[in-house]
Amino acid sequence: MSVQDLTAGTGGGRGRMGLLEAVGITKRFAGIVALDSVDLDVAHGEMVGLIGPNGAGKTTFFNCLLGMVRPDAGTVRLDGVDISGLPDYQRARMGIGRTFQRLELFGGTTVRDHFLVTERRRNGSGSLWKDLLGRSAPSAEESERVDRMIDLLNLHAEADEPVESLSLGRGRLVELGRALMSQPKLLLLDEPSSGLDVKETAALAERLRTVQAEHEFAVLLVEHDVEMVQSLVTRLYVLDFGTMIAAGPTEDVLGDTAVRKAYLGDL
Amino acid sequence: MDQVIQWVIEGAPVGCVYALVAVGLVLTYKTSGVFNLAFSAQAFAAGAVFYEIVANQDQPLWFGFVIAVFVFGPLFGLLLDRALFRYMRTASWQVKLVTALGLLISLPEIVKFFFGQQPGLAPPSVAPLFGVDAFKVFDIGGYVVSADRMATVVVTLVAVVLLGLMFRYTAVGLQMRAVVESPRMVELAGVDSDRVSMVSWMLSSVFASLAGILLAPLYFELNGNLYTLLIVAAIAAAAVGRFSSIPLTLVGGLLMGIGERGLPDVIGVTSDFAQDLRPSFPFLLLFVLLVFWPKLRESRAVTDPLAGVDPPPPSMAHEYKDAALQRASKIMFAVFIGVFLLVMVTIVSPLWVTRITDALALAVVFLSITIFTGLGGQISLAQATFAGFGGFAMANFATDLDVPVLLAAVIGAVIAAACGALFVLLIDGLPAAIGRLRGRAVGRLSGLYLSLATLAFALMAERVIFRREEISNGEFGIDVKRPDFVTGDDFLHHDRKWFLVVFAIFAIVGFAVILIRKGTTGRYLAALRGSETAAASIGINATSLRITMFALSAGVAGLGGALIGISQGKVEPVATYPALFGVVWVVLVVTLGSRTVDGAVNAALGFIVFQWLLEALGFPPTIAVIGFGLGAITYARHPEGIVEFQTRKSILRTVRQGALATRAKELAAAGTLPEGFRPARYVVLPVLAGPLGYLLYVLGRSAIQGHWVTVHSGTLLLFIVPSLVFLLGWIVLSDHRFRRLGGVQRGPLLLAAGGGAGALMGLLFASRDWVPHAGLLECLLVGVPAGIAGVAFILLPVHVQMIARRRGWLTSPITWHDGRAPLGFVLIGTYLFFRTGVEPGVSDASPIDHGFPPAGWPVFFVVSLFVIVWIQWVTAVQSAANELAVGGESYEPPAERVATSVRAESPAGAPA
Repeated sequence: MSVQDLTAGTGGGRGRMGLLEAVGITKRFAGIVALDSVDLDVAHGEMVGLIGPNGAGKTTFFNCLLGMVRPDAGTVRLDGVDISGLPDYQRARMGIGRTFQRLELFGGTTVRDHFLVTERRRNGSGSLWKDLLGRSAPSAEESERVDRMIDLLNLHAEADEPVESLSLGRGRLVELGRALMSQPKLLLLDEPSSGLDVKETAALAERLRTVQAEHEFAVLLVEHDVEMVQSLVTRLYVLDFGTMIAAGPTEDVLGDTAVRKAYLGDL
Repeated sequence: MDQVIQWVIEGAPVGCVYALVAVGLVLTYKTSGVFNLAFSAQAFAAGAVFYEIVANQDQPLWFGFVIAVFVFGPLFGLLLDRALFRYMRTASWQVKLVTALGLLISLPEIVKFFFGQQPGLAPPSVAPLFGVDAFKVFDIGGYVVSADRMATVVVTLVAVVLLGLMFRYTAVGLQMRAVVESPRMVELAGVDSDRVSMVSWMLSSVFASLAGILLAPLYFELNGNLYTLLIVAAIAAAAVGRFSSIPLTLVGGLLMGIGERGLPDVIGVTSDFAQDLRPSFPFLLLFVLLVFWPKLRESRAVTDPLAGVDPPPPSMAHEYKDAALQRASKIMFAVFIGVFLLVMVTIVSPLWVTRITDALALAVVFLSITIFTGLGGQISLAQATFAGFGGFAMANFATDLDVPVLLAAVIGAVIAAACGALFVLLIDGLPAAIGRLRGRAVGRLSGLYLSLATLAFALMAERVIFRREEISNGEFGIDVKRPDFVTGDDFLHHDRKWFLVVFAIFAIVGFAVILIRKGTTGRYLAALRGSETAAASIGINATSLRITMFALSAGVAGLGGALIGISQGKVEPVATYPALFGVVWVVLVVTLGSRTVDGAVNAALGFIVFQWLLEALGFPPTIAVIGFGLGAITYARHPEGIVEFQTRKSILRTVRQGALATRAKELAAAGTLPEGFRPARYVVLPVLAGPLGYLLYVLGRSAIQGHWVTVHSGTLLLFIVPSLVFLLGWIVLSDHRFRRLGGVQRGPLLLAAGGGAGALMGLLFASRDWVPHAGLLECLLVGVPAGIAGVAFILLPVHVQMIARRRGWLTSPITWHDGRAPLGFVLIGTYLFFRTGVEPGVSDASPIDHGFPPAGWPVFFVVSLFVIVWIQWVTAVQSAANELAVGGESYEPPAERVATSVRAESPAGAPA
């Protein structure tokens, strides 16, 4: 079954409005083609997976979506708006949140600080003048939202600890919480289960499902853990050596022989 | 073409010297991650050793050469590696940089301390080593070259060829080459990188020493300042090699030398600008390379892969306070400020008011470092320069345009802030814009490279901008008057009025910094410090935040610089804002604490008071710089700063003692309080009574007589001896108790030995009549207790440690580390006693004596510090003894007394 066949058979997502549309994303690093005209789209509230062997270009693709790497060709649209020329922080403000494969936490600050600074950034109420007038203390509403996120992710025990003292699993939760605090329309998760054990992974997937059901944001998940992918996403893309080799409903794609060969290691 | 050859011939020798230092830089940077800015200082030291041996001691040239290059050089490198940088392998770039900066500023002063302040004239050339007279002139194809210049080139070539051979044919050379390529790969291959780094330190120190010897004859003098400039040239040369390629670094060094020589001819020698520009060529090149060569900034600093496993940094000290302590310290703070202001406007002498005012103006500049380093997480070496922008702008506006001087200071601050913002645009914006045109993203300049860029910028500004007539009135400087409302002594002395103005400005800026730290901007900066990518992922605009941070910091520095100018009544291009002050200041502030306003204040007061203290005690004030520089070594252990560390320690101790007191009260109520329990105040008060009584006696008599009085040593002894006897008794008794609990069994012997040693010292000093104003009795009275106390300071904590270990406690309430400071003070105190005698330097002769503090203040100052450190130690030991008494197997710290954040460092009395 070819890529076209799978896509044609796709039902999920087509019915809903498009949120993210990436068309023809191409990126070369010193002659190596990391991404070769990759297309991908995600609808509002949809959970989509992106899998592929290590080095397939998944993280590069994420970085292209967010503007942390500039693609050599291709456009990225969010809600119909072309965001290809925008810098990373503006894309984030437009509603793309992300987590990182290697933890990227704000060292030296607490879990609560992480959520608070994101909330402050999202509501845009902070300014240097307010700082100088001493009016930058967290408002009741901000504190409440932060507390709610701590509740949601069950981070009470470590809410006031510096993040360096957290385990990897808890750190991933903090990253997830930080991304959620910015109320993204689209959440990019970069291998959230790497470094977690089976139980932790299951718990993370469970939590993610609950939160997503409540807030209805879209998710683009890069993940190696096939079980987690299966349990979460409805649609799946497969990237190999910078090329999209398959796309379609999860079960179909996972059943595809080419995918099994390239990624799952079947002969 | 002829001209180019001329440049090559004239520039190559200096270029060779640059290349030698640069090769050393690259070697150590790649093998140990330390960017050793102190190589120039090492070069200076080797040059001085060589000069001393050959020129002053008239020893043979070869002997001096061998000692300076092949003995002194490697030994010094070995010392730095083994004693210092080896322990910093896993430290952050800030720690490595600050330590290197500390050496950069202190080493030349140490050298001058030993070899004298004057530059050495007519330094010997190495040409005679080749059997040629140094003044012989060679004719090469029509070009004239002197022998010492030839020798410089030849020695460099030989050194480089030897290095190449070593790299090619020896095992360690191969390993070093590999480490330079990829340190991690080499470790994975099982090579001991510790040894490789040691060899490279020794080797690069040989290169630096060689450079030091070769450089002096080229400038016809041995002068520390020349060597400081040498390092920037070497950095620029290393930058040409992207801090990793040794052949390219050599090329870079030669290019530097030749370019420096050729530049004035290219621009036209007659232009003033070219004259100013020529010595700043290295800074210019370094700056341009760092800013416009994207590949350079993308070559990541050497990072330790295990850096992430370091324990988390401690929270800010004030977060450890419980509610009661917070209330108490707020009240204490208000009372302290009130008393301070009252004392300053009433009894402190105008001289000291001026000094403290200077310190406060400086503290404003230091707050800019709090912003840049404490909040921004970066290290700027250009804060003195931004202060200069503010100062010169203020002076020009005030004198040329008749703007009121305080308004001019504000304008100066705004201009400095604008310069700060422009600086970011230059180092980030411009490369980014060029990058965009060429279709590639360019990262922001940060970390070590940002620091180097600020250093280059600062040195360049000092030469090219500050010396311009239009800006600073040339070398004359610009006179500045204080504002009109502080002149005249109508209701208050004019210095006191000006002090109040500066204090108010400092207070406003200090509060602003605290508000920014606690506010949104502080939170954003903390996020940016933690992770730039993650900060962008939540929508933080790093570029605008960085512009804000640079502008704020530069603005505050500019305001402080303007205040310094107004305080001193004059702004001068070289004396008021020397670029190297920027380095000293940063080292001082980060050592004491860059995250808090306290740190800035302490650094400023330290900077001013310490210098006066040394002068009053008869030391050269340059020792202060040595102290500040070497103090930077503590930064590796306490990156949060000494002040912050000590504050945290004392807060934790107070919280812990509070917990202990509550526990004791409960036990007492139950009637089960153990025998040995003595509240610490039972010991502290009698010990304090003597010094306090003496102080009150002197103050009282002075008040009655209307001037400071001399108090006879007999009276002093009358007050001090009872306290001393009590203290010694307590020490012996504590030793006895601790021994019974299973401490050091040889305690009494050790104490007696200490006392005996002290007595011998006293006898020796008295018999030689080395101590002015004191006889045998006094010498013994100081020597014996000092000896006993000196031993006790370490012994009693060791007792506690041993007992705690026996009981299986995880940590001891007090460790021998706590004894180091009091021991140091005993040594200093005894030394000062032997130097000045028992009379605290009080006399009726000086008119200053009618003011405050009196002429004898240094002794009082040191003694008070001594008493404070002493009392802290006594309290700590008595509390530890109480903890041992109350503790035992059943003791658990009452949790509710301990603030939540203290959990990590809660009282350790709990059994394992």
